[in-house]
Amino acid sequence: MSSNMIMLKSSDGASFEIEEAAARKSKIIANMIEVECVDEDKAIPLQNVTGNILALVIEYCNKHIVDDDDDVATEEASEEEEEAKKKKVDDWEAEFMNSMSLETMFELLLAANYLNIKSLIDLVCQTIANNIKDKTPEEVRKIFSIENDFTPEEEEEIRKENAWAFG
Amino acid sequence: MEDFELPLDLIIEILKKLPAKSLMRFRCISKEWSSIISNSRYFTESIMSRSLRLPLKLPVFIFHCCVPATRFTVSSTFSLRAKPSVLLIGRSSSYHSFKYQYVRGFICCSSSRYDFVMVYNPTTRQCVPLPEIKPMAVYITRSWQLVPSPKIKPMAQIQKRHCYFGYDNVMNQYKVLALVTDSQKLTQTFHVFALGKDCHQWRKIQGNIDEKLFPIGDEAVCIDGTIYYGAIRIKEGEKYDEVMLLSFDVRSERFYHVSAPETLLNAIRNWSDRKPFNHMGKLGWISRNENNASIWIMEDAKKQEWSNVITFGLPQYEEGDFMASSGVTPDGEIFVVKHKTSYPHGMPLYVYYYNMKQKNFRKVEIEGAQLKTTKHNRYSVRVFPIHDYVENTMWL
Repeated sequence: MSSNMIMLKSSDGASFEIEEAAARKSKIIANMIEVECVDEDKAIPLQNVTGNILALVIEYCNKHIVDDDDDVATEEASEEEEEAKKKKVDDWEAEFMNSMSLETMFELLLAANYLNIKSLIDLVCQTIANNIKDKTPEEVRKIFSIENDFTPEEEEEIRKENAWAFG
Repeated sequence: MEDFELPLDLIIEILKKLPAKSLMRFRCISKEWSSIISNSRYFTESIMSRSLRLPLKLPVFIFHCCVPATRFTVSSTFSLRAKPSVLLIGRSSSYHSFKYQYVRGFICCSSSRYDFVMVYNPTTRQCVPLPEIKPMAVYITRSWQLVPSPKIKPMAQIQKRHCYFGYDNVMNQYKVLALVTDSQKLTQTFHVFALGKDCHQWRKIQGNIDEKLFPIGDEAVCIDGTIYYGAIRIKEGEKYDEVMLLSFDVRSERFYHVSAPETLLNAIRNWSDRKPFNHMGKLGWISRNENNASIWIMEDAKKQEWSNVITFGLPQYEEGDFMASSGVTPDGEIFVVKHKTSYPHGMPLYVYYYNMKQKNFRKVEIEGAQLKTTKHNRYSVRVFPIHDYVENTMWL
């Protein structure tokens, strides 16, 4: 694989150099490269992503260059090798998401969404889901800044319908 | 995290990863969340396909217990104390009083003996008891001492009711079709209950078929918005004669004839047990006599062309008797499950799967079904396997 490098620039002005193959994990950037609107010596400005979040995105993309590249048929890798590889990626992802604050996760999710990186969206959503799955409705409202628009009676009614889920 | 709002499409992506129990708890977060979880077709369908993608899919069973009270549980393993258990009637009932139909995450439990229909969703644990069907006003008054609950009454012997459960995939709507027959007057009335927030009663419909075409057997299947069942033309003073297959289009609520080969119709007429099933999206029919079972499949629904796939011997049981339900898994594998009637001692329960190539059965034990019972702790269990079980968070 050629190691063309491209430059990305965050909203707060930080510049990052990244391999083209890694940057192509983002459908948006891949598109820009396809239609040749990437200048070789000009950085791609990403107005919605701050430097610290972009660093995380790039870290993720670098780790995922090889796998799920649809065009490249994987050679006769045995099932065990495949499994070992998958476990390695899973472990890395767990480590990557571990100790990340919810706030960072939300920002990373927005960035992944903006850059259109499906696998990263899935990973962050899954981690957020694991994080909130045992929380109370009050806690979840706070996390997502959701206003409760039920009347107390309506809410009581729904809680009663699903009483088992509060156990 | 103040002032941090995620766009709705990302919130939905997060919700899609949550287990059903969390989703049910989060219904009370806001109107928007509640309507996504319970009513958005896009969302409920993504939860369904998620449960289909699970790597190790075990069959799920409905365990119907009729002693000392009539109740059922839904689980992949059996336990006498399983929770949640859904109470049907607060006393024992005869073995064949209730039947179950499963469609896309919902279970419809109905009875030909009692005026009773209930729709249950094991994912949300929502129980929807349907109201009485009005023209069934005749009840046996003699057996009043057996009826503790005034709501559920045994029906007169001459009246029979068959309930068929279906789903209309165009309108995303579940419906129950009830055929109420009177074997004395030789009449039949047709009723539909459309499940949903705004519907509270049965609607009598003008059936576009001869009312003397009585349903035969208790079984039906819903495939692609169409319910299929067997029927027989009742003539006064005559024994049963003409058997035919009928279909009911769940959306338009119209009946149609389905042409079928004579051998299948004969089997439906003569064999002790027969039922339609979904054979990988096609209509199939399994008929069973004492030792053999036969399978037919409608290869082409438009042309209504059938093939008789196989006839095979049934598995031998140690205990001798044969009370079973059978069907076909989504992968096209035939299965048979024996029911357990009041046992003096614990015996394991199996699901038997038929291998068409090797022409033999492999058996899989249902976990937990081997129980020690005593005289005072009898139990009687019917087992209804669901091989295409999905989680559905839709709220009716």
